[in-house]
Amino acid sequence: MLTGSSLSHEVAAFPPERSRIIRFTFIVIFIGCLCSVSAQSSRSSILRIGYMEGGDTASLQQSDLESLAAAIQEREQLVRLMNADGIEETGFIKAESGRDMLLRLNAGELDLAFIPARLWAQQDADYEVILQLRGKGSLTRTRGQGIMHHGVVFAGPRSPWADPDTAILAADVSTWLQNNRVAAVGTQSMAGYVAPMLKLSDELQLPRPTDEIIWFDSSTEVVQAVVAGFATIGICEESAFERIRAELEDAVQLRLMYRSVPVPTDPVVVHPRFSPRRSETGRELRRAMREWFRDNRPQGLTLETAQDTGFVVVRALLTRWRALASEAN
Amino acid sequence: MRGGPARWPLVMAVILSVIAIATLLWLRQRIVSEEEQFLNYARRLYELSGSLQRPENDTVRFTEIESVARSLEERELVRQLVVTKVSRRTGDEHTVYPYFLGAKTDDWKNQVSWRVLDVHGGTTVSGRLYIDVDSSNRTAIDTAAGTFSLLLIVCLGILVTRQRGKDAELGRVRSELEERNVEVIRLERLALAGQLSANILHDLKKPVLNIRHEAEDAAAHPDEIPQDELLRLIDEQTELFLAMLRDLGIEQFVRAEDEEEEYCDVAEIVNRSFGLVRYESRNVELKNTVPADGTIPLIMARPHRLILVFSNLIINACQAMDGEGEIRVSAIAHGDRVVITVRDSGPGVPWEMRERLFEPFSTTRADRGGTGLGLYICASVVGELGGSINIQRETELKGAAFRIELPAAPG
Repeated sequence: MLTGSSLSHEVAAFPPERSRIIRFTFIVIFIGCLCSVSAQSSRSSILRIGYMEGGDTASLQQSDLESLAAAIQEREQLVRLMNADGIEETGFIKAESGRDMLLRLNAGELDLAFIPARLWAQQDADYEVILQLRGKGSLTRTRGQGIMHHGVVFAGPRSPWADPDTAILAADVSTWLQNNRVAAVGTQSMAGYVAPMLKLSDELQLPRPTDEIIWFDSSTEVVQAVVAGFATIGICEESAFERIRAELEDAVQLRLMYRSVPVPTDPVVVHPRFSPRRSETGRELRRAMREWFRDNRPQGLTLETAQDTGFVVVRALLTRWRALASEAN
Repeated sequence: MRGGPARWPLVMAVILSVIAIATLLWLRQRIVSEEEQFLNYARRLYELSGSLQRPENDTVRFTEIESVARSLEERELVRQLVVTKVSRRTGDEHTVYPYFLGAKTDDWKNQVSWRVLDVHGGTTVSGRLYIDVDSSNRTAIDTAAGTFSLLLIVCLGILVTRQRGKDAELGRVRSELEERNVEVIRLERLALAGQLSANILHDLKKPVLNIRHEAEDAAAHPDEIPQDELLRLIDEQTELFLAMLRDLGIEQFVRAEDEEEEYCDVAEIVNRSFGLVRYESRNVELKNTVPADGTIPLIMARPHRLILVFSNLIINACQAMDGEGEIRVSAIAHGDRVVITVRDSGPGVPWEMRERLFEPFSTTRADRGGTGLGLYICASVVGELGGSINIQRETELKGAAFRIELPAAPG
């Protein structure tokens, strides 16, 4: 490789015509480098934050994220660090679906994103988990794996198992599911759908326990639909179930049938260039977000520090899920 | 006012009640209209939001439904709101707000008088709104309107009852008046009968008194009165008396049938009439200015009927003049008719009485025994002869002037 000083020495040894040509060539190369740097800088001038509705824990609103962006802009050190990285503003991108979010992650379009846990396991762009959402309700803190929660399969008041004295027999449940609908939250949800469905498959010894599913946008709506009578059995995240059961007290019979294994709550992931392990901006960004969530609790949520290792179980569950789907087909 | 409170407070109460009821009904109509507008708005809100119309797998957006429901519940009109969704697959109706209502209470539909609104999704019913409308304002207005209506009915009842009482009182008074009128008429008829009798006797007395006076004169002065004249006078007066007797009774009296009509000389008839009333007109100057030279046509009539006419007019004039003054009878020929005028120097007849002067019992001397039949008899007799009689303004003697027009005898 040629250094700058050796190049100038070589140029001085050339005749004047050749020297001018070489000098002109270097000037062109230099201008090209400047343009390249400038283009790179302008492409990264906005911190792009992605989000989507229908997560396990809760749905963040655009207004919450706008408040977060304003708080970020008020932190001088973070702004200075972002400016050093060529970032001057903060913008939001709302994914229309899990598939849309996955495509954006794989394309590296997002610098930071609030995503369902399942998408982290499916993305192949090395997005790194830095935080995870923590809501109210039944949560389990595990050593080294962060905050976990459960999915449940529950019986509504119009099912035979609303009566606590009725035994939950797999054969009866299997037969019941042949003729009755199940309410469930979207397939992107690990705790709300994948984990409890795996539990149900295990209990009933069926790769696909039911095809009669009514889809709802959140675990809360799943429980409400079962209470309202649109389905007799519901599958959702445990905290929503527990919360509504507590609200209804004994007026309406809701009975927990099966509880899934614990799965991590939804993560906040960053592009590898903002990994806290390598980027001062990433570390400061993580700190700013944690503090803002702690102080404001949007939708009752806070953020806990998390790492990729806590989400390995998601990959394992998805692998089983795909295997069961293949078996059912 | 007799028999109860004054009428105007009741009328005022009726007017105020009507105004109050009209105002309350207007208010009620406005409230009902606002209710209907709100209910329509609520239904449209759900239809436009589409929260009950998710076609895919009966999915329900509870959050959206609750959000719309809470915005509706903020209205004062809404006491309670229930939203249901009709399952496209099963057709069952499920409560989605409050979502637990159906599970908690089976008969929630029967617990309140709901206003039910269908929410349409396309051509089918996708859900229903059950709204317990707060009708306390309407109930208050209904109560107030009912109270005012009751007050109105009571006031009208009192007014009608009192009016009926007054009508009954008026009917009773009218009935009494009618009874009294009947009594008065009966008494008047009795009085009339007495007056008729007195009049008849008065007329009958005239020839008898004339005979008596002639007889007394003849007895006192046997040499001064010729025998033939006396006998003729007695015969004439007797004939008149008999005629009167035949005509006894008012109708017969004025329409004697058995006397033959004959050619009558007006001057002679007037003289004979003067003779008949000579004692009533003792101090009255009687002047017969009817020409006796044949220039006045004869009249076809019964003589005593004509004498009765003139004697009545002359006696009337004598009585009007209190027995002193002048009476002048004149006549002229007027075409085929004879116009005879009887004038006096009395006080005359009030002009306003001329219309009723020839009606029976019409008199200006009721206080002095006038029967009011003399002129009626005159008019009747003249009318039978095809003539007419009226009173005219008198300029010569400044008293009364009766104008008699009779048809002249043919030929």
